[in-house]
Amino acid sequence: MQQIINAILRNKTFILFITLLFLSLIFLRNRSLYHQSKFNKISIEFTGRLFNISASFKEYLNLKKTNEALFYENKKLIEKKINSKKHLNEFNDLYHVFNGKIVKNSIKSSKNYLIINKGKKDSIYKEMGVISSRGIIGVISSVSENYSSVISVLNTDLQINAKFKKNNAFGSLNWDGKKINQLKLNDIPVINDVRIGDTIVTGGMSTYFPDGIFIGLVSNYSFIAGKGYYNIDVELNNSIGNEVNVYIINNLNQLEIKNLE
Amino acid sequence: MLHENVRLLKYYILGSLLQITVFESFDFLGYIDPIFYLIFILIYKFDGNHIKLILLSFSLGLIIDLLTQNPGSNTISCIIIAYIRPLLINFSFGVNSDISNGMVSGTRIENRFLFIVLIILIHHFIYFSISYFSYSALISILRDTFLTALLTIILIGITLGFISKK
Repeated sequence: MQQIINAILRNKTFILFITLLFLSLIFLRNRSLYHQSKFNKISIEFTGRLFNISASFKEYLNLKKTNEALFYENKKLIEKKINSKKHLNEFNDLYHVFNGKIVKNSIKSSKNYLIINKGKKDSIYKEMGVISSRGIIGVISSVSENYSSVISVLNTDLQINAKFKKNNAFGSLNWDGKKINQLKLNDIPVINDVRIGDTIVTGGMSTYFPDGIFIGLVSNYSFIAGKGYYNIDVELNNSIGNEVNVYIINNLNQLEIKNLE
Repeated sequence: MLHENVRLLKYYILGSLLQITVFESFDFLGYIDPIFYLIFILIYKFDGNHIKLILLSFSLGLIIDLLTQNPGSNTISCIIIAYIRPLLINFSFGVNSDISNGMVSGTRIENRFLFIVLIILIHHFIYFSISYFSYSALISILRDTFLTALLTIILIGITLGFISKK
């Protein structure tokens, strides 16, 4: 306390000067509308900048929450997009979408699997399709209470129904285990016109994925001698090894379709 | 001490009265009014109480502002110039800054002139900056500062010359 009093006494001239200056500024502000508007402008600018700094800081601290909110929003949009296909009954959603995160990913073998952080507890079951915001990921192969295993599209055992977006010519897409992110589209008859850069989407003939989900672009094609089919290479739009956030698609009619098959 | 206080009061009243009655409507070249009351801050003893000077300058500026319908430029410029006065004394007079009545006698005329010019220029610059209160008016601020300062320096110089001779 004594030190505070000493400090005040030591700087009494400066304190007096600042006090009088402050009083004068209040006096100036109150007596002139011009100065009042100028002061208001300065104070708005100052508080604006100050709040901007604190808002940026808060925003930074809330990035995780924002990310989760966006992820959830994206899930809803994907669900809406999938269910808004023309041929679906608009009153009954055919697909439900769940979001999840890849916790383990492998792309090194010919039989690649992923593990995602959603399981039975989250209503995840076998044979649900898994996609990311940029393309397809795989199909759920087994489910535990909290986690699920996914057969990656980079697994030579997985066959996916796919088609050309431009003419609906469909075939079967699978990985030959050679080049990462490059799949083979088989069973496309040579009567179809194929160009490099054509868009390949999911065919909707299987119960895993809805119709029309973007897979990738034709990167190369050739004729298989004497068979009447193309040998088409498709470059995946997404990079499986780098994906983190995924969406799991539940086809609500899957059981009914399977029973008919 | 009493004599000194009477002398101060004399310049305080003289400076403010002449400013309000004569120099506020001087209108040299149509709009230039010298700021004569600065004579009080200039003539104040070099070793006088700094706090007393700041308080007196504040009241002087406030009186002028209230009586001339000025929003507050005189008050602010007066207290700033009163606060930085010791620095300007040291800068202008150097080793002679401890001569109590240096503005009247015992110091060189060049030092006194430098001190007057510095006090007046700084005061006028603050005064017009507050009056215009805008970056875009910088040219007008500088123009008014120099023209008014010229007139104030002449006026105060003549007055101080008379006081010194007396």
